[in-house]
Amino acid sequence: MRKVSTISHYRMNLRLGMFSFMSHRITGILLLIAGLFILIGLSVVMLGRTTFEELIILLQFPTFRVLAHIVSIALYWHILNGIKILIIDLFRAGRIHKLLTLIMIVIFILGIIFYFIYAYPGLVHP
Amino acid sequence: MLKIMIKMKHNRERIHWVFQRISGLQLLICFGVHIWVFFFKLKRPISLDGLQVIFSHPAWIVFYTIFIALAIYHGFSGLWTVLTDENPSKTYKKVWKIILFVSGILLISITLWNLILLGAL
Repeated sequence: MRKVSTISHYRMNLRLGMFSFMSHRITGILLLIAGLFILIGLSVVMLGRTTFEELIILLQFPTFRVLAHIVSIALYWHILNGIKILIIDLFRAGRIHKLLTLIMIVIFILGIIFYFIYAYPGLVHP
Repeated sequence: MLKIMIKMKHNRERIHWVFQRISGLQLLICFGVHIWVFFFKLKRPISLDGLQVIFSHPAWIVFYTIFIALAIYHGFSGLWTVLTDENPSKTYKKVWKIILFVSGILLISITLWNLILLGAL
């Protein structure tokens, strides 16, 4: 029998659970890449004080700020999804995984609203 | 013999599964501490001097080394799961295992060195 590829398998079962599973993997890989960039970027410290100070100035640029926001949001999603997986594993709550995913999505949206209120206070109090 | 080998393989997978969860939980705690340091302990605007105040203390170097080691373990372990999802050949698994192990050790060592340098600059 012909083996069904992983991507076809994902496409065939694209429901809430699969969406949650795929997003956990995608955000995980994104975070891994971001983490590697941060760790390698930190190595600039080997080049001396001036170079490191230049790196700090460079990280204040809008492009890097947007990237930092994207990574923070991905991290937040990954953490929430991870907690959901832990709850399912520890309490054998596989039956209510849809409910847990929906609760997670609500918490995620609320968290993102608070995050942007904190990141851009001007949006609330212009 | 085959039964024992299968059992050992299952145990290894189980340990890997358990450690993935444990490291995730530990990362969550470390991340909470990191947020506290970043938002409440680090002086604004962020500068090298502000970072030096934190990293001149050995306890923070130890904490961040553990944090990064855990993150690398968790990340590479997750990547390993993604890479071996379709049950590839033994050679493929072996090559990836070596790549991930060596780069993990290298990254942890470089980070430790960088953190020490950051405190001593």
